[in-house]
Amino acid sequence: MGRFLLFVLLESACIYMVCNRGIVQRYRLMGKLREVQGFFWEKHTSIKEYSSLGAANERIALENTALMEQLYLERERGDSPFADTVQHPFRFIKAKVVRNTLGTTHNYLIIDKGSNHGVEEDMGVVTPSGVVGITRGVSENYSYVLSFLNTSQQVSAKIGSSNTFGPLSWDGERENMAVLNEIPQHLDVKQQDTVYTSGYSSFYPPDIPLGVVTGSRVVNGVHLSVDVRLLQDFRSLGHVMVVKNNGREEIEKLVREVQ
Amino acid sequence: MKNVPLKYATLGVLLIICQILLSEYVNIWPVLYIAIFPQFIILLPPLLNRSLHMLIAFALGMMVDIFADGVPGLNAAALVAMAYCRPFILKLVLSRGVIESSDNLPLLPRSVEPQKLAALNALMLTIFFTVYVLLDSAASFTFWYTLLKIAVCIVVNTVISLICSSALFEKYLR
Repeated sequence: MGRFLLFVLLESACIYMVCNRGIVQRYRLMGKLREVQGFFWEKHTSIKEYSSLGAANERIALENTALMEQLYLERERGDSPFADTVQHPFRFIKAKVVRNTLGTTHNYLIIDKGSNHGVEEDMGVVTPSGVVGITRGVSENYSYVLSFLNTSQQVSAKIGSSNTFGPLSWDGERENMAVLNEIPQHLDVKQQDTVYTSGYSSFYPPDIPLGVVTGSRVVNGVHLSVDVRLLQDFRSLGHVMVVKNNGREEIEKLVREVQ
Repeated sequence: MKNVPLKYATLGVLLIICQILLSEYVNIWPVLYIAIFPQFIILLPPLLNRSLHMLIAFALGMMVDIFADGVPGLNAAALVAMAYCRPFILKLVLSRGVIESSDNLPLLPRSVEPQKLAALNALMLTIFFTVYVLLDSAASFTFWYTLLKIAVCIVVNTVISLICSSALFEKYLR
């Protein structure tokens, strides 16, 4: 009986940890551990990068980061007569991927930027080709990112031609396929339509291309489920950008007040 | 055989390092997860206390989860289930004589007939991968895909574990 109780206790602890993916990563001890692991992974990545023109990648990543910020600033300014006073809606922190897991349904990444560089928990991570994930644990110099290739992750996305939006999630089987759900059945979804981030979540900026439509089917006779081929190749992730939404605190405060 | 605990501790550390390297460099097919550390539990002395078995399995699983796999609890849950069922499987596959004659010594592959060793490994790994894959894919369960994943993992890992146990661990633990 005692053995069975121990078995139930250990299994319950394990299942609790699995169900709260990322919960253990938030502990301070994990932060210290990540510092040590990050050091080795970084060295390992540097060796790999040596053969893939690391300096060129670095320069292009920096340029991408600057261009993204500029793009969103220009968009925010629009035709406003107060254009000069408009603040950057999003800031991007360039980071290098030092570890990237694939092949399971709970993938994650470690990036080489942490709290010392302005990264906080629950920030979106993107590239110009799509979303990568959300930061779940941050130490001084490294961050643990829950990958989009994770069955618990969803991104608010819209179909370019119609602006209809719904939750996009990984299909759990293929690294380059996702499913966009809750699209109204009457909508004419065309193959090769581009799917973008909707901007309705505070994690990701709007209009980042995510993928193209490859097919659709009716689910439960009510909604369309749209198959999307992702543009982001997770196998070749090198540099990413952590998104700092400057208006996020204000939005969250407003929501809390109203609720 | 002297220093059994020390040998086991060294074997555990080596298996964790090997698993980290495997997770890092061997990504052949998304369906296939190669796990060599369950071999540690298979090779433990058959007469070892079952509670201790489960605690060792939990600790080893958590180490692998933290250092190699990323989701704490996943490998640990599968390994604890395997450790809990181990005495039943040993009784099912091996004769009472083999178990009792082990006298708290490691279960050496040499002391077991090849077909029984294969059955033992296959059954133990069936429990491990069934728990692992079901828990891993609970949020996105697809029957045929899950079944394929469990089957592929069991077959490939049983072959690997038989090669490893005969070629490496036997000599090391002897």
